[in-house]
Amino acid sequence: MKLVDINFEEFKEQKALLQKLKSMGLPTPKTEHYRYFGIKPILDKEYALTMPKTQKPEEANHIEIEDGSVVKAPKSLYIEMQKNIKIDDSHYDQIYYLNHLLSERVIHIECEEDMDLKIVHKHTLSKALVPYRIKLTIAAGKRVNFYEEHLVLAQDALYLYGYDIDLQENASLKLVQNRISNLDEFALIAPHSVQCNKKSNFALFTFDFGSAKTLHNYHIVLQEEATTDANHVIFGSSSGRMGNTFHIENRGKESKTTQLSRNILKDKARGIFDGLLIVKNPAKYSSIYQDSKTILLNDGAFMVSKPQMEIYTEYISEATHGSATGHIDEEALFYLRQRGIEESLAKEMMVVSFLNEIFEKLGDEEIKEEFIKLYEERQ
Amino acid sequence: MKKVMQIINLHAKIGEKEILKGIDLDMFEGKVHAIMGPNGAGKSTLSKTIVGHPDVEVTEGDIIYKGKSIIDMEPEERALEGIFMSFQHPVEIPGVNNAYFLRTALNAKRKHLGLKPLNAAEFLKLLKSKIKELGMKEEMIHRSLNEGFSGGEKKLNEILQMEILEPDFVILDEIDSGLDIDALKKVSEAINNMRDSKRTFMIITHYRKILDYIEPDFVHVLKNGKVLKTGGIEIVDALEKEGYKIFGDA
Repeated sequence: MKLVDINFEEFKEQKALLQKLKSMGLPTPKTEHYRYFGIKPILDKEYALTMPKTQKPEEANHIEIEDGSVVKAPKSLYIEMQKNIKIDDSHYDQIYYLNHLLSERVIHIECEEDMDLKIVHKHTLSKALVPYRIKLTIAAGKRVNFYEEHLVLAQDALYLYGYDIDLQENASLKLVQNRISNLDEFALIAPHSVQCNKKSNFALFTFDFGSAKTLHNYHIVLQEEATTDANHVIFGSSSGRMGNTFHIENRGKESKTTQLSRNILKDKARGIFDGLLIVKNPAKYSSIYQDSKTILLNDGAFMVSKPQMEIYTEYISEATHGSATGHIDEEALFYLRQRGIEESLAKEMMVVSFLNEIFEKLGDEEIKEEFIKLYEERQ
Repeated sequence: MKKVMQIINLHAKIGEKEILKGIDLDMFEGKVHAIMGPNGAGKSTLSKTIVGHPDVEVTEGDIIYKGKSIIDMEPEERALEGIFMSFQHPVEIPGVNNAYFLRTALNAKRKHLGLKPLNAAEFLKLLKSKIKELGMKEEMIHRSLNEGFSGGEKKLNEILQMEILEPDFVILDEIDSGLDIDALKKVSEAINNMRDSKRTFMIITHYRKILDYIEPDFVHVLKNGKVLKTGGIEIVDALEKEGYKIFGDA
């Protein structure tokens, strides 16, 4: 089946979702957050719709989701398949509603203690359309580090997944999304919704390395004194298209948003950073900061960078945004070479240094090493 | 005297503009060669040409270094052969740690010489001793390369690199620009400590002051892309009195 041929009447029991999707329609190449992604070939492609199976997970020290089904999980963790969860009715992405419509049951993970969790997504089904969603609840005052990685084996497939995250009062979540795929014909669209309640803290680190087609669309809402610190690295090669789009709404007073995007693109890769930061009228004394920088390693690479702000209050502590795209600094490169460092290593040093701000903030040497390895392989 | 570098009828351009118009210059092992000349004479282009800067295109002539032509060598190959340039404006590279950069450069050289690389601890010991000798702050080890350094600190960092890499042929491109008297003395002292019977220095300068501290063996005057005059320190005295007009046009 093609996404454009879905018979929505089959889902008539899910009235609210259906109504929302019908009013918005499916995305088109003119839909702003899909404009540069190349959505049409994905919508027009034939896929076999494959619903995740419900099964009893094996005991493990991490969560493993294979083609939308939880196959491994820690015994102590509360996970259930849940129907009719509360959805975000102000998400800007049509696929968010479609994803929910196709995912009758969502995987609900409830974190009621401080914890470090790892989740591995395995995508194995070629020529398939696989929809699933995860609801993640972090109880009030709890601190959770959530490390996610994707193992892609599926060719010519479309996976729809995403998080509905509920950060309760004073809760804290560090979500690290490590998304590597070297399969050119693999597509992943992931609409996420994050509700940050009073004084909660959401730190997001996303790493998109490789040549797949992936788009993550985040709707993040911050209540009073909530903070979000979103950091993104894209290293795209071949004909990869990778992007992150955002609507981050500061709705509560003294809420704070910081967003850094660092991108390295080579070959004919395309990167997308489309971030809209909104400060609503009640969000007095809030601050927003957004900075996107890109290095194009060759002329065929292309970056779409759209930092945007909408401010509806007169009282704001800080509002800064900027964007820069360019080639590697030839003078700096020459300086390193003049000290006897060979050109490829000098370029690597400069590329790694460009991303260092985010690597250092995360404090995870493994991801940095992974990036260096991939970078070296792609030279 | 042994010739270490021989520049023969060197013509070079940057973009469409020919800047070097037939330079002939011999430089000798263990000697200090001062290069002087008015603005636009081609002094910096000459140094860039020797180190293989990609902006410079050699259209005619040759540079023979230690008996072989270096014109077709990559910049890093020339560096590994022992040619070092202290930059007039050292670039800042945020995120590249100063110590990591220096160790990478030193180990590239050691590999080229067939020596074992220094591990982090061995290198740190060496670096700290050099920093102490130069009277630099130890915190610069952990800082990004030249980032936020004052003009004097940047120049001292160039000297530190020179001391660590121990090159055979050192080009100092206006090392004295932007230095106060104390910093100039410190930099000159470090350079004098590096002088020996093997190492050659090419000092590009506009001013006599640095040549009071580092006594040159030869002074060459460049004008309009050619060497007009070669001699000793007496040339500097003449320039001070009369200016470059006394040597006429190339």
